[in-house]
Amino acid sequence: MVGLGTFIGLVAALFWFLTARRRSVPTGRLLLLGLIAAGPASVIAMEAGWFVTEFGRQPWIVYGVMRTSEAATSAPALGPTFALFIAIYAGLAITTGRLLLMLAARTRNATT
Amino acid sequence: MSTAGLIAGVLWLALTAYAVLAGADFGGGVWDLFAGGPRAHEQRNAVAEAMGPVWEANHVWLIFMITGLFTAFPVTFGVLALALYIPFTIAMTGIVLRGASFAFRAHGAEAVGPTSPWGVIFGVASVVTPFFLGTAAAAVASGSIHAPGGHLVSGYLDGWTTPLAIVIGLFALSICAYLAATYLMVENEDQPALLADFRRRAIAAALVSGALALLAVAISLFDGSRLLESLTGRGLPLFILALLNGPLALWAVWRSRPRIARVAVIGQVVLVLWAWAIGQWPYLVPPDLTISATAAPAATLTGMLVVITVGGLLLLPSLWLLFRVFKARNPQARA
Repeated sequence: MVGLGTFIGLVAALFWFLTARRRSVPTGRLLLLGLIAAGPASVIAMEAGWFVTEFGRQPWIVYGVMRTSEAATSAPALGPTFALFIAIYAGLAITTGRLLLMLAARTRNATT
Repeated sequence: MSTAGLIAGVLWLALTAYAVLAGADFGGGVWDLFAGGPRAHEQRNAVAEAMGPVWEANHVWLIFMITGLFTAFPVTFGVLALALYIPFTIAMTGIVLRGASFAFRAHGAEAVGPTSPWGVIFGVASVVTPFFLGTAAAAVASGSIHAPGGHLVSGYLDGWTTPLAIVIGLFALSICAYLAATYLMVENEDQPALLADFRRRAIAAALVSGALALLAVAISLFDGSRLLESLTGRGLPLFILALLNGPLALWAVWRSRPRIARVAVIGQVVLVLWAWAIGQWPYLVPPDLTISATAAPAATLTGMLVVITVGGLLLLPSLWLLFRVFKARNPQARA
């Protein structure tokens, strides 16, 4: 998380530094590749930060006040519900990906 | 009124806004599913056009209710989340699938033409969600959720699987369809054929919802449930107004007065919800959970009141602007 965050910050700073100095958008291949990588890297960094706070806090749900085991619901059939939501969100993720690829393909066909 | 009572009132207002706004979105999905006749395609377009810009904003009220209940009345929140785990899970699944399928259908059509499977999921989820939210409301209103001292003792099927709850679930569904039909009448005032289509649908929904409401009252006469006590106690004046307003709304639909009909049907939803709310006041979940006994500490409530006020100053004008831009007679909003 920290490494990726530093990387994203450095790439952005380098980009703006070069842009300001040359008064035009830099086109160096390595820098552009870094910028492309910064997109997914920011998502991974965000998720990693989430994992650190959530797992780092265990076994507390509210640090020093309430344990996770005390806070968990006693509702029935949590396993099947969890499975159901995993299935739903997997389906939605696949569909979203497919539709985005279709839209991208259509735009590419329209421009070429 | 106490701070807790004030916040409870604000949460009931949020429920009212959710019923009137998102209720119509569910109803729009119902009319999408039952679109028919020579203008089925135009009907679906009218629904999509009416819902498109605002349906996500309408779910603000549900989120506000959930977080508000969690913050201000944590005990009640916990009991409801457990007792109504099954209908709430079904409704939540419906809300997720509805939103996703609505978006997929709209953007999928751009890429690959009409994608009907998503249309069907959108319609079915629009029917299932208000039905199960209605059965959950019935479980609360009928006093079937027992939690003395804040500990749930009634079962996971209690209150929302009774005949009364099924009738109230169907009533919730039909009133959503009724709301949507009158909104769609207003939005299509300048299109006589579509106006007639939605007028017929509004009349059907009016008759069905009226019959179901009376059936629910009749059932509670016999099972002696808490609901009747609420409606004939403190809620009586609003209940009588609802009984008078119902025929007025139907008259306005019958005579093709879309704007009067829309106000009257909104009035009907407001009257029914507040007859229930005031009828069971000061209980949040009768017979065991009151507003004062399940409220969070005073510091939390005061903080929440400040946040609600500041947030409201930002949110309400934004929503007003949203509806003004997309819902006023604005020729540029129609692509």
